[in-house]
Amino acid sequence: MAELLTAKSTPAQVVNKYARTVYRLAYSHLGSKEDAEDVMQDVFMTFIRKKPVFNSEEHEKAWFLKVTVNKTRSLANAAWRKRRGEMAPDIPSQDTDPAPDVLAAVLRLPPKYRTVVELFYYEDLPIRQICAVTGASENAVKTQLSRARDMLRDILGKETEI
Amino acid sequence: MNFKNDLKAALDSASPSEEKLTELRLRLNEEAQKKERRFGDRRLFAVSCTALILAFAISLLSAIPLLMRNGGTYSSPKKLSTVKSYMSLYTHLSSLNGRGKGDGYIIFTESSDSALDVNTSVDPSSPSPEYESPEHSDTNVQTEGVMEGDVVKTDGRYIYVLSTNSFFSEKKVSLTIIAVNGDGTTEKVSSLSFPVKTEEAFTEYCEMYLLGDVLAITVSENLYDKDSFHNGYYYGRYNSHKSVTLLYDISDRAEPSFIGKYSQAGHQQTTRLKNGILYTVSVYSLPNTQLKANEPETYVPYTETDGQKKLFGADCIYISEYSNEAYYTVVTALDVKKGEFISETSVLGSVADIYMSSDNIYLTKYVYENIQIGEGFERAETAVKTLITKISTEGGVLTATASATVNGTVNDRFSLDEYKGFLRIVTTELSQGILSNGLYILDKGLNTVGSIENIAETERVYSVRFDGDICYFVTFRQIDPLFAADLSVPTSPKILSALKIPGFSTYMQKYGENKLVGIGFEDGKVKLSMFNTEDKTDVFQEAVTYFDSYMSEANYDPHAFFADEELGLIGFPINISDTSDLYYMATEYVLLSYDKEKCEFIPVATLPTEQADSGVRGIRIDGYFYVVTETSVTTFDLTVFEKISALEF
Repeated sequence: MAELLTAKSTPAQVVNKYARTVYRLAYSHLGSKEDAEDVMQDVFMTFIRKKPVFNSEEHEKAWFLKVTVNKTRSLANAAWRKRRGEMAPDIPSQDTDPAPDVLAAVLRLPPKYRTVVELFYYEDLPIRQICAVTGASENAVKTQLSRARDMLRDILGKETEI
Repeated sequence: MNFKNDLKAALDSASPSEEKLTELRLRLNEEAQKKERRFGDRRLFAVSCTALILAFAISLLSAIPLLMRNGGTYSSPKKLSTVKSYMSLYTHLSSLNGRGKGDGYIIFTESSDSALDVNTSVDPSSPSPEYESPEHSDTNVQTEGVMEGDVVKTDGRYIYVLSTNSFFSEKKVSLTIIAVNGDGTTEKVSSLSFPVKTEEAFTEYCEMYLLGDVLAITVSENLYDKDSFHNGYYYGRYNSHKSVTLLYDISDRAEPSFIGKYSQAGHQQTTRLKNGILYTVSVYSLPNTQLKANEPETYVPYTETDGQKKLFGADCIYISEYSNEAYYTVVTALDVKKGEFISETSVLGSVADIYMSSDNIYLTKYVYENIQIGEGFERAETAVKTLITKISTEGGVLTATASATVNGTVNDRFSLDEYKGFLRIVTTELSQGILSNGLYILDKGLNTVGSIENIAETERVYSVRFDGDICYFVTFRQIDPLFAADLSVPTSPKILSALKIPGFSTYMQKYGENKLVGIGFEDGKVKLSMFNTEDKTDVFQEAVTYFDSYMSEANYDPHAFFADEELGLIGFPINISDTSDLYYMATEYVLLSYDKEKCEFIPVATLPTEQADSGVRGIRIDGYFYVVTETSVTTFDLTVFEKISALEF
C-alpha cells in the first residue's frame, strides 16, 4: 500500500497516487474527457492549497473522492445552465467519444445516480462511505442505487447481472 | 454479462492523457512553491486522541466587546421584495444564463400581498371526539406542536406503515393499516399499493401525516423528458419534478378512499403539519425547455389541484440578495380538511436546510465565495455564509418577511431555533483554511444582536440542541467537546462549559429535566451517551454504551430515535453489515432502559429484522412497545420486556 500523503509529498507523488481515481469518477459523471481533466486539475489545486492532513488511507481517499464529487457537481451545474437554453440533451456523442456499452449506459443515468454507481461498483465503497463522500443520507444512496439498477436493467437488458 | 466487471474494464481504460498529467504535475509544482513563499513552512500537528473532561465559563463581558469589534462585519438584514411582473421575472431569469454564483443583486419594487381568507378558528388536528385513543408515542419532532412526516404513524388504535421502495426487493410501495388490540396483539386491516414507475414519471413516496380521519402521503414525482426516450431507452433526464400530497379518507380503516391530489412545482424538500395546515417546501428548477417571455408557464412556479394548474402571481415570487440561480424555493400551505391550497410563496434561489418554528419557516442557503484558481478558472469554491430567509406562517398565510446572512454554514435544521422571537443559529466557518464555529442571535427582523465567534478552532459542529435559554452543541476533530451556552440575554450569549470526550454525537435530545441523550460515533462504532446537564457550568457524560454497528438511522434521522424518560426507555435501529459481503445489510432494533440511580444503560431487547433499508421504527401504545418494519410488527410487553406477538404482512 502506498504511503500516506503528507505536507512533504511532492506533487508528482500526489498525482501518481490519485489522478486516475479522480479522473474516472469525474468522467463517469460528466462523460467528457475535457471536463474530467478540468475537474482533475481543480481537485489537485485544492489539495496543494489546503494541504489537508490525513489520519488514514481511507480518510485520504475519501477526501479526494469527496472533493471530486463537489467539483464535478459545480461543473455539471455550470455546464447544464449554459446548455439549457439550447436544449442540448445530456447524451455523450457516440462519434467523438466511443465509450463501451456499460459506460454509455451509466452516462444515460440521471447525473446524481452516475456518481453513486461509480463509487459502489468501481471503487467498491460501502454504502456508509458513499454517504460520507456524496453527503447524501444512507436512505437516499440506497434509493439512488436501487433506481439506477432498475434503469441499467432497462437499458442493458433484463438478464444483465447488476 | 456482468455489469460490475464490464464497468471496471471500461473505466480502467478511461485515463487522463499523459500530456495532461505532465502539465498538471508542473502546475502543482509552481503552486506549491508559490504557497511556500507565502506561508513559509507551516507545520501541522496531529491532535492526540485522549479523553479529557474540562469545563470553563466565558464571562458575560467577553461576548459584548467581541460583538462590538465585529459589529461592522454583520450585513444588515434585507427586506424581501416580490417581482413586479412576469416580464421583469423573465428578464431576470434570462440574465442568469450561464452565470455563476456570487453577485447580481437586482432590486425590484414591492407590490402588495394578496389577502387570503383563512379559517383558523378550529384546530382540526385535535382527535375526533367519538373515542378516546390510548396513550401513545408520536413522531419525534424538533418543534413542539409542529408535526413532521414519517413512514410509520400511530393514533393509538391503529399503526400505519408506508413501505417505501425497498432497496433489495422489487416490492411496490404500499400503505398498510394495522389494528392494535388492547392485549398488544395486532392484525392487518387493509393495504393499498401505489405505482412507482409509470410512463410519465418515477415516483418517490416520502412520508405520511395523520389528521383524524384524513391521511396524507407526501410524494415526489420525477417526470420524464419525453425527448429523453430514444429507441425505447431512457436517456437519463427528468424534465421536471412535482411535489405531491395525496389525501385519503380513512374513516373506514378497512377501505381508505382517495380524496385528492395536490401538487406543486419542484422536488420535495420537506413538509410540516401545524393546525391542520400542511406546509410543503420544494425546489423548482426550470424545465428543460426554452423560456418564452409571453408564456409564463415556462418559467413561473405553480400549484395543481386534481390536474388544475394555477400559476403563482408575481406578488408571490420574492427576490433575495442572492437570487442569481435559476431555481425557486416553493412553499405552499394546504388546508388538509378542506383539501385546498390556501397560500403559496416562492423565493428565487435554492435551499439547504429548512427549520420550522411555531410561527415561521426559515430557509437556509449557502453563499459561495468565488476563488480564482489559476488562469481562466473561476469556480464556486467554498460555502462561506448562510443566507436565512424568514417566511411567516401566521394564520396559514405565507409571507417572506426578511433575509439576512451570518458567517459560516449550518450542520442541519437543529442548528436553528426560534425562542421568544429570537432566532439562534450555530454555524461552522472555514476562513483561510481554518475551521471555527459561531453562535448568532438574531431578532425578529433578523438583525444580529448577539454572537460568540471563533469557538473550537479547527473543529466543526456535529450536532446542536437548544433547550430554552441553553444551547448544547458538539464540535469534533478527534475529541468531542460538548458545549453548553447560555442565551438568556440575547445580546450577550456566553459559553458555560465545554466537555471533551472521544467520539461525537450526531443527534441529541433532552431526556428529562437535567439530562441530554446523544447518539453518535466513536472509532467507527455507534455510541449512545447520557449527559448530565444539571449544572450547566459542568456538563458531564454520566453513561456511555457502544454498539457493534457502523451506523444507525437515528444518526441522521431523529424520527428513528425513540426516547421516553418516564418509561426510562430508549430505542433505535442499528445497521449490521458483514464486511466480507458488500451486499449484506440488515437492521436490528435495540431497546435499552436507563437506570438513573446507577447511571447505566441496560439492554432490554434486541430484535433482528430482515429490513436492509431504513424505516424501522419503535412506537409505544399504553403498556406495549411495537417495533415496526416495512413488513412486520412485533409487540413487546413493557412490564416484563418480553416479546408477546408478531405480525407479518
